[in-house]
Amino acid sequence: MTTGAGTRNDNPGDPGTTPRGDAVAVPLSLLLWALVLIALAYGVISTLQKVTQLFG
Amino acid sequence: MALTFLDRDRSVAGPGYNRWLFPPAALAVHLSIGQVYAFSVFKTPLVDHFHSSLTAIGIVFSIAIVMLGASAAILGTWVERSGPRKSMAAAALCWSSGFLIGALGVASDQLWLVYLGYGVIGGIGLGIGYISPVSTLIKWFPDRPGLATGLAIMGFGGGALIASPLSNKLLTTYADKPQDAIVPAFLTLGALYLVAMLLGATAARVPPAGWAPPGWTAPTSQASGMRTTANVTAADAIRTRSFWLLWIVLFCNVTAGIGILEQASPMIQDFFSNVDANAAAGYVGLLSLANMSGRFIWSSTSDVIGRKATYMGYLGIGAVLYFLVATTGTSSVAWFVALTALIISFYGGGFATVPAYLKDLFGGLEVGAIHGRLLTAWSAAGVAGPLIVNRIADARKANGIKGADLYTLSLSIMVGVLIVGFLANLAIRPVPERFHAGPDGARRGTGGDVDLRNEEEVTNR
Repeated sequence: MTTGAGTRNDNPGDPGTTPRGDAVAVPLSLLLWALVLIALAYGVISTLQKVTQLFG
Repeated sequence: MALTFLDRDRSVAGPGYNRWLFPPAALAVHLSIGQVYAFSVFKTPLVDHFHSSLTAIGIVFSIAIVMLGASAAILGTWVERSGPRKSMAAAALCWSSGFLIGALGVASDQLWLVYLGYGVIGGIGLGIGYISPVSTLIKWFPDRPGLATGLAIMGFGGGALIASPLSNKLLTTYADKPQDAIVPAFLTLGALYLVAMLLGATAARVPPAGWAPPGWTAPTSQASGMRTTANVTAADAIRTRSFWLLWIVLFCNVTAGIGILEQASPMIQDFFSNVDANAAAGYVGLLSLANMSGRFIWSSTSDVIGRKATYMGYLGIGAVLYFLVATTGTSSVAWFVALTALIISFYGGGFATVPAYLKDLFGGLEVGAIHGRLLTAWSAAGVAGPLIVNRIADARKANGIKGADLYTLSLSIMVGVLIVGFLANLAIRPVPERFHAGPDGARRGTGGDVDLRNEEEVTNR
């Protein structure tokens, strides 16, 4: 996967360190990916159950 | 100040930040606001609660969609300036407040509070939330803008798939009668969406200025095809002929699609006497899946074949499909479903591809603000599409016409609407250089007022 290279972060003035905000954002984004996929799966499965009524 | 956390400067990604960590933030917002497409679940309970008409309750949805377009147009520049974190947080507050005030309106038997809450304030949340991640996605994915915006805007289509069964569950869980469960259901959804959207806002990161994916270099010389290497401000974009042609394109594509979506259940039952209400609900679900998947598939495809060609497909093939529905739609259920599902996938694709089309034409500088202004086409189409189909069907029904013949005329009109959109798309040209902004954001061109007539002199490079 492609990664970015930033110059500004939540520790302004100390660009060489890992930004505090990114330390939160990475696990939070991974959690969001999981929640989004679970929610979409729930929606698609619920909808497909209805779709079977059309051809069932 | 704690609120400075929301500032754009505080959300710039650090070194090595993975760009694929931004799409879930965008999806958290779009999946939440996509609930608006499932508002129909609350229609009957609201009618029963207020002892009102379907029309009076339907106004809630109409206000929300009109406010979506209006707020996206008016607040687009603010969203662009504030960055995704602040605008996503603002959208979260408006959207969840809409549910809260709506619940208050139901609890106090004041329908106007539902109009104000879900319709006006929630609608503002829809508009801000819809455009909030678009510009940032395009900046993170300059090499695949169609894929990136398709992914997020797919969430708006997917939001209804989640909200519809969830809302039904809440309405049957909280009380014996659905009309008695509206208040706790609204409060639950409002709280749920507030948390999801604020998590998205917290996770949002913008790329540093000048960032580009490794191995990818932005074109530096002349633009190729419809793609520009320059930027046009939102204020100048709306003075160009290409913006208004694209407005017509989006209006036509949405008008045609929404005409079927809005009438999907009664339409299939009128076409086929053996299709009952339950089977029709399955058909509506299938169209929702087509709407959602079309947003991702067709928008991603546009990165390969180009935006103009993609819209040629939506509008040109769409016109042929509409014609086939009108002339051969009654031959079998499977044929009718296949044709209309493809039409609706084009409808969804049109929404998802348009931000990348705008980026091609106007650059990425203020693409979110320009997108906001373009969404007024959606509001207009949201009125025109259902009006065409419903009015004609009602008039023909009054004349004793039944079955598929109720829709023949409106389907034929949609063919014409799509041909108009096709021609408008054909006429779109690269934006003349005099509209291009310099490094300071000011227009380079001189000469006072813009003359749209001169735009046709620009050749299609």
